Amino acid sequence: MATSTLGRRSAGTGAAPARRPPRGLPGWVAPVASIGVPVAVLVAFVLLPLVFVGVYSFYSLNEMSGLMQTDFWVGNYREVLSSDIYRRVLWRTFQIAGAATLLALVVAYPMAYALGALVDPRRQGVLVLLVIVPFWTSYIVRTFSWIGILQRDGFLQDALGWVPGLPTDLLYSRAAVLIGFVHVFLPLMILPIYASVRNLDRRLLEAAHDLGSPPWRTFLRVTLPLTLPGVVAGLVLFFIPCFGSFVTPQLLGGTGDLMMGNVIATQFGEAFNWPLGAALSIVMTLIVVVGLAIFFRFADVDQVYG
Amino acid sequence: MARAAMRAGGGTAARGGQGRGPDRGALGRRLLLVYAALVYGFLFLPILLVMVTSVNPDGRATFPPPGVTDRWYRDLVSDDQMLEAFRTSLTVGAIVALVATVLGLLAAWGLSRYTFRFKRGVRALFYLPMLVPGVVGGISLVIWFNRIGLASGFWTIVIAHVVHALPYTLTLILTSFYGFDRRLEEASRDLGAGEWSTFRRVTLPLVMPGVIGGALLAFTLSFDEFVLTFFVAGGGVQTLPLVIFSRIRFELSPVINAAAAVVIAVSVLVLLSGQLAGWARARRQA
Amino acid sequence: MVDHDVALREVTKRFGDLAAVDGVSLDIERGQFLTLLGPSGCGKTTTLRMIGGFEFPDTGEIYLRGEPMGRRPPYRRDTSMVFQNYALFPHMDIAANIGYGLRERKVAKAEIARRVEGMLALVELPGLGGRRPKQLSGGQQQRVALARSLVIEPTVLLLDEPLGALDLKLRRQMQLELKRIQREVGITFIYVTHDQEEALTMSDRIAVMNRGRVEQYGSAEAIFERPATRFVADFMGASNILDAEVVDADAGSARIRVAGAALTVSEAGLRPGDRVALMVRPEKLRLTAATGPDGTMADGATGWDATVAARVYKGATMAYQLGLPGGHALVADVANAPGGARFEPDQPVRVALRPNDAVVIRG
Repeated sequence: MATSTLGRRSAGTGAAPARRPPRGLPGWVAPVASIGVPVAVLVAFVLLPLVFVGVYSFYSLNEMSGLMQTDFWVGNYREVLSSDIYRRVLWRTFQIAGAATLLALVVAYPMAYALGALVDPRRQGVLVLLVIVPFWTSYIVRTFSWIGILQRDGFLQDALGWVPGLPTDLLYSRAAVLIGFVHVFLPLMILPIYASVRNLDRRLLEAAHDLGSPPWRTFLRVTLPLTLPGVVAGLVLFFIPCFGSFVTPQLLGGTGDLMMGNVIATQFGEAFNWPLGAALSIVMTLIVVVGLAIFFRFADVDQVYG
Repeated sequence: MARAAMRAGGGTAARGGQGRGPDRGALGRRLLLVYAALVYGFLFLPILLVMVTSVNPDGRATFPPPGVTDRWYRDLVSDDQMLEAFRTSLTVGAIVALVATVLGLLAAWGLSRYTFRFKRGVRALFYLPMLVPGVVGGISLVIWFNRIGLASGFWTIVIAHVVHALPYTLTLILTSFYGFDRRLEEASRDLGAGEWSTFRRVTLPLVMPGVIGGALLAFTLSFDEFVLTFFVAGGGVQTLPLVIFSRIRFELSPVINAAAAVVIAVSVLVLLSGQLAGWARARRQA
Repeated sequence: MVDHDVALREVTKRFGDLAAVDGVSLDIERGQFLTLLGPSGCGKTTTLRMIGGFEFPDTGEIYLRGEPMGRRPPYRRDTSMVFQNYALFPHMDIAANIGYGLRERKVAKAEIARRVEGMLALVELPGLGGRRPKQLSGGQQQRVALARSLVIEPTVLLLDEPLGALDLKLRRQMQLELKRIQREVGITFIYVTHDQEEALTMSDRIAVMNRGRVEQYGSAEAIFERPATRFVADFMGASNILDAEVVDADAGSARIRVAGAALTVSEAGLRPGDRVALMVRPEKLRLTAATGPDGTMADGATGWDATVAARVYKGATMAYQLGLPGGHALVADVANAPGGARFEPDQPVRVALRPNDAVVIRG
């Protein structure tokens, strides 16, 4: 290489051996490649596919052949919004996801408070890791395990069947779906609340005590308002995956517990009505976007992840 | 009156000794900690139960288990469909880890080093896959692969998993880039190292914890992924979660417990080893 | 040209609307210790970074040993930089840090080890090659950074406030140390600091910078004794700067009016009516009890009638704050000789000054 000998000769002063010639990449290569390649991948396999969900949602099915035809038709949306079936599914999805979210809040808040406020900060790292570990394990497997617990003659009945009044045959019921949701997504509720509890200024609580507030009132007037951003973050982060869920109702719920995700999957896998499935997907995505807008509007994102 | 007592106590005893406060407060605290332990139990019970049930001779979650058997594991290693799916999952996971890490490294470099127009939009695009519901992401890919004529199978699964894992991998790698002292690179170039040599000898070793963590996370995300795979796999190629799902729905056999236990073990071991390596590294450098 | 290691010609660098460096020209002789001195934001660090190749001038040119640098990157320049916070590679031990540049130059391993040992001896850290940067103190890290740069035998060593993070005592020690090492290796050092005392201690030449321009370039002594501008005088810690007006001038001296008194100064080239400033070092002022009616003293000194406002004991000297007619103030340092005169607050005194000790500042 000519440049190599040239570079060597010009720099060979003193005892320090020659510097190597520059590697000949123009300055724009690094920025364009570093941003451009991943952007291209995401545009090709996330953005464009989503755009085409929108496009397909305006297609229709040929009434004779049942095949899809590429016209512009708003009938899918009309059907989603006016038909009783879809309205009922939509409402049910809201109910189940909402109930699971509230349940998760009730379960997670005291837990997060104990972690963030009562445990020695040096030990919090390990305990938080323990909250995350279940999240690393397969969603399918965790949901599957609840089948063995909740089914008739299952673990719950074996272990706690002697407790009077405790329902033990829960599989394929609304309760099973709620338990499944709370279990698989609970870390999403615990972690943001934990973060806001940990960021609480302990002196504010002491001040409230010192000013004569009994503990419960300190909690209502100081702790709760200050951890509200974490609560809002937890509510949204938990609600969104529940709302879009497909596996949990499929495996744990009965026929009366099917949600939007199941209906969409059916349109694609069994009914072969892609345009209607696409329209349902768009509606679901819009609801999620609204949820996220609430999240970014009200939750202090930096505090949650700080 | 009680309030007056508390006020009086508040001044004298700084720690815990506030009138009627101490006993009740300590009790409340203890109850809360017991409660937290119960929640941990709730989180881990199903996972541990899968492990225990995989060696339960009854073949299902009975209590107390009557004994220990390796029968379901012997079933598993002679189950060709499961083994094939396991191999597929490992291969897909390895490819996804590699591709998602390279893309994440590029993106982290670009986002942390350069300012450009539409940077907010680009950042939002990187996190978009995290926010799209799985079902919607799945059908969008089905529509798209159908549209561009890419046949369902191994590579559609890889693509779906890469875009699924990328935001998480990017987040981890970006953390180490933002904590990076750019003067170290200047020092390297000043001492005679070119751009590539500086990247290899200084930048890469220093962001390595994030890169390794990102790769391990990408692997487990791929290894555990179900919803996207369910849509884009197309029947020909099956990953382990797909096989487990279909077995759950159609034959609920004890071998599922053994397979499920393996799935849990793989993910937890991979991520835990990454975490422990990170801690060990932090301790060594301190 | 031959003896100039570094030359800057009308170098300008803008960041947005701000000219960080504005038409700077400098010639730096081989083997000199040059300090770029100035307050933060004066452009000294940007100038240094341009010499090192971390930034490039918008206009103008930088020459190293007569060769124009253009947009040549740092790894193709014979300069080396010691960074403010040392920038030691945390993932390498001390020996690997020092050997970094040699490995980049494909030097044989045994040779690297030998030269790293030599460097550790030069900076007085023998035997620490196996440690990690975090295990060393700030002063030790500083020496490692120095060794890492010197081992590649650069033509010019650039130092960006390298002592800024050290405490005062260690700083003093490192100043002398740096000076010793510079004499030993004999190469050009370009040193950036905002500490005028540090600059005076170490430098052969000082360039005082302000708002992207060089206000004055000269020997340490010249900068301290004869500041060319009011900014330089102020920055070099002058306590006594008074506005003055030239009354009368001839070839070698002039009479100027300052704070209500007329003084004779030895300064050529002034014209009557010029507005100038007068700088007087506190230790050059002499105080006597205001007894005699005569304004002129035996050695031709002239001065003011003043009042002692306050005094501060400073060990070897006593510092007096003096009130002059018209609201002006002066500080005088008087040696605490045994049996020497002492003055009390509110006491009227006579302040005297020899013509050669007053410095006229035109800028």
